[in-house]
Amino acid sequence: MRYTMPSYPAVPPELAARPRTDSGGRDVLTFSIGTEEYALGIECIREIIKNRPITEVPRVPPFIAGIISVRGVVMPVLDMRIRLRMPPQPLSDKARILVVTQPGMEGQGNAARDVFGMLVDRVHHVVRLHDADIEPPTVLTGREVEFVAGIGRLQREAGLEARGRTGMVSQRQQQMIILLDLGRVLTFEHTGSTHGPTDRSPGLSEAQGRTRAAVGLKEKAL
Amino acid sequence: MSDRGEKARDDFVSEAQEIIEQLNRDLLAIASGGERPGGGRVAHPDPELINSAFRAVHSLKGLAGLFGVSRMLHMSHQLEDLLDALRLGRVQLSSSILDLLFEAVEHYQRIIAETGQGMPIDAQSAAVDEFVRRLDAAVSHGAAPVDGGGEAVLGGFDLDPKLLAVLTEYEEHRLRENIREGRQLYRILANFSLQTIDQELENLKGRLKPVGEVITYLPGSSGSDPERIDLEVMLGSSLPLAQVVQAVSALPVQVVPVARRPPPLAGAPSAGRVSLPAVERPHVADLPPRAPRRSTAGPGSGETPLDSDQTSLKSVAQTVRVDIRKLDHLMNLIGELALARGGIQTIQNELKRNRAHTELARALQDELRLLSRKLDELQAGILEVRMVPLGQVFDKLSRVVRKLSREAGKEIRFVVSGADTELDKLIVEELSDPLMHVIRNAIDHGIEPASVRAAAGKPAAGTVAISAEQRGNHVVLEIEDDGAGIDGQALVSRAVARGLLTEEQSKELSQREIYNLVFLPGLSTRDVADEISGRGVGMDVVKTNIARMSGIIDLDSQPRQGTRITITLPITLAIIQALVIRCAGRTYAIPLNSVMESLMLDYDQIRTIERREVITLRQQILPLLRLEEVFQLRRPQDQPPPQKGYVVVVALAQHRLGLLVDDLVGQQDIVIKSLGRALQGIPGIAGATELGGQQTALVLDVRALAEEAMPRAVEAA
Repeated sequence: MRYTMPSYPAVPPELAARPRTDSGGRDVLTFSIGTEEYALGIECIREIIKNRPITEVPRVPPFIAGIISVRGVVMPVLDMRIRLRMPPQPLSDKARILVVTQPGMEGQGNAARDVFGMLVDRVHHVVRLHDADIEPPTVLTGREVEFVAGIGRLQREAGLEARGRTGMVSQRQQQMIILLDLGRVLTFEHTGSTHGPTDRSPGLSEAQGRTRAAVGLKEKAL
Repeated sequence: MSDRGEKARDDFVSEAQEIIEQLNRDLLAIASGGERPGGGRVAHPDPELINSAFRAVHSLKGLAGLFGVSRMLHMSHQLEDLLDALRLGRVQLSSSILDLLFEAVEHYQRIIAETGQGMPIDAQSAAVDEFVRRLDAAVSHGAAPVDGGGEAVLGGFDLDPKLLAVLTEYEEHRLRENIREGRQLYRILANFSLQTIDQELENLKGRLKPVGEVITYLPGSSGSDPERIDLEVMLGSSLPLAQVVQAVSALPVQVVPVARRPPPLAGAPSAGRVSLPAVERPHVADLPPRAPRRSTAGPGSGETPLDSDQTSLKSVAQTVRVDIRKLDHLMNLIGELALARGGIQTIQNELKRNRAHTELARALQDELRLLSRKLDELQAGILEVRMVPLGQVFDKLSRVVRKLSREAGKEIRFVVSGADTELDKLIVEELSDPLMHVIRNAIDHGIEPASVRAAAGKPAAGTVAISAEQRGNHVVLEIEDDGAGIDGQALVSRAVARGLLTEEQSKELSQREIYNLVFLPGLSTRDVADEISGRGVGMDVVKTNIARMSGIIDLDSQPRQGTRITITLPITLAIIQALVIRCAGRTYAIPLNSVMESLMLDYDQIRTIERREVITLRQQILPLLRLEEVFQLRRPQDQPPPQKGYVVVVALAQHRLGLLVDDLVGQQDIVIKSLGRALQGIPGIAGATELGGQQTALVLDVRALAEEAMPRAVEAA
């Protein structure tokens, strides 16, 4: 069945107001997952909503918390802690769902505009990262490098609330944020546990029960 | 490509598609007007149909020019020439010409498809070029100077030479045709007010149409009243004067038969084909702006007068093409309104409990009722907009039948009924491929060669019939052929040989179950193409496609008598009725069309047969499926498994299955939504729906669940 989502404002107005045109930098939204600070380019962010009841979906990987419906659009919600292989923890009332989509996927047919929810622990703010302050993920090792597009160094002014956080971000004046590779975060397979005609595309019965998240790999998507 | 370019392309494709469909309908109507087998000359087609086809091609040409689709422009131009030649009788309609015209439809469709898929709009196509050459050849070689010698024919009637002088080539041709066919000519003299001439003329033409053909109409000599105008209509009719008079008796007009007179008119313009420049026509100055135009344009210039069709132009202007996605969006909005209504209802209930607000609560209740009613109407209205007649698909099928029967060298009578049955646009779209396969199978493998048919005492022409009928919330389609039928035994042995069925199982199958083996995926129908159908795609894909639309397909066959395939489809996919249930703290919706009944159950009534849980329901064994086990739902710690619950009995063909759930919440109209591509295809989940209060629930795919539970039984069903 084909259903098309109503269009969202491309960027939340409060974020869009910020300048993002001067060359050699990008605006990112920073947020916490577990004890670490992450960021995504604001062009990926459709909306930030409060945590709400999530409808559990059977037979999907554990990092899919379930589905929600935002103004008539049903979308999967990823529990980012589990996605990034962190231990689960109860959510606080600061938890938010980022409604994200891959930029550049618009206009590629009806269904290409997949929207996802990302459950994060806390949303901070939009900051500007200069190209010189972004390093490739090679400096990282470890389990989460798979989803990392780069490391951003942020010159913090005194008094900002993120100062002195634990984890990687321990320097007083300089803070590290992890730029997520949205394409990889949103690309996954779910495997149906049984046989049966599950693949809904015509004539593809061999692919039963296995559907690749059709978001596609966009390496530079940030 | 930019969004705007994309949109323009979409517009082009959808608009062209619509015109092509119209063209196809016209051609089919022309073809059914009396084609003779063996490629002989086709009986005189309705000139109005040729005109309509001409208009369609003309519009396509304009569209192609507008978007720069050069190969389509080129082809349309040539096609226009051919149709114009047909209109004017310079080329006679024959089977081969008809084939060319149908081929044009295919070329159009290919071009549209290619353009829609992003092929450069100015791409060249050797196939089209070759086709254009053949069109050209048909125009030049097929040309027969049939109008030659018409002088004598025309001379048989006492016609005003002034009138002959202003006839267009087409009108003149129609005049000759009418005379040739031995019809009587009538002049209908009317006097209309300038204010109302358009309506009155339409009215007059409408009344004349059943009794004959309006060849031309033109303003006569003007009377004394400057507000009124005389109009003369020339009618060709095979009916006697009395009947023509009767047809227009309600109108203040005069009918005068044109007298025949013996010797030819000396002063008639040569061949009557001269069109005088507009200024030389004496009565032109009297014409009101919207009075019938006389065009001096020659054939093929694209300006040929088509003014005899103002009615149909008007009706086109009253329709709007809407992207189905916009309707989906409206549906979503209505869904949300319904949720809001639920919220207000809750508030109202609160109010009602509070004695201080009884009056207010009652007033609110009344308003709510009104709101509900209007919401329902709105929903029904939008659903209605989504409905399109199945005729759209049937038209396509007619073309396929024509082509296939030609290819297979079989004579096929294609009988269509119920083309005005309406279904959701999405379903109609999805339906054309499966139906195409079924029809193709019937022709390729169902209908026997003529010699075999003759030996079996059947008429030489095989019949393939498709019918549609609405039954409640469903539409039932039947595709029937009078061919050889299916060899059930061959099917069974094939299925056993393939290991799809054991020898024992095969003995227990009912006749119907045997025929429905056709739909088994492993039983590639291609391998048994002699007995049953199948070329390219098997019936299993047909079944999958139908199932995707929540449809059911069934097949029955009588050896040597034919085969009947029945497809049952819901009228719309947009809104379905569902049974909302709860299990292990979760809420699910089950489409009501698969629910037979639901009953309360004490769990100690459950027995086990071969490790499968069953209950006995009305002396029948009903296998059970625990939803919490299938989905591996963990119950909250504080909620022990209940000792009682409900069984929702779902049915799939002849098989039944009981879903074991904790609680029934109630029935509800729901809008099924996709989970998005990332989560599509989860076994047992058909989609999601909103239940109100930000609550979403999953919609169960009962068929998939049942197939898990008892794969063999369902597959054979």
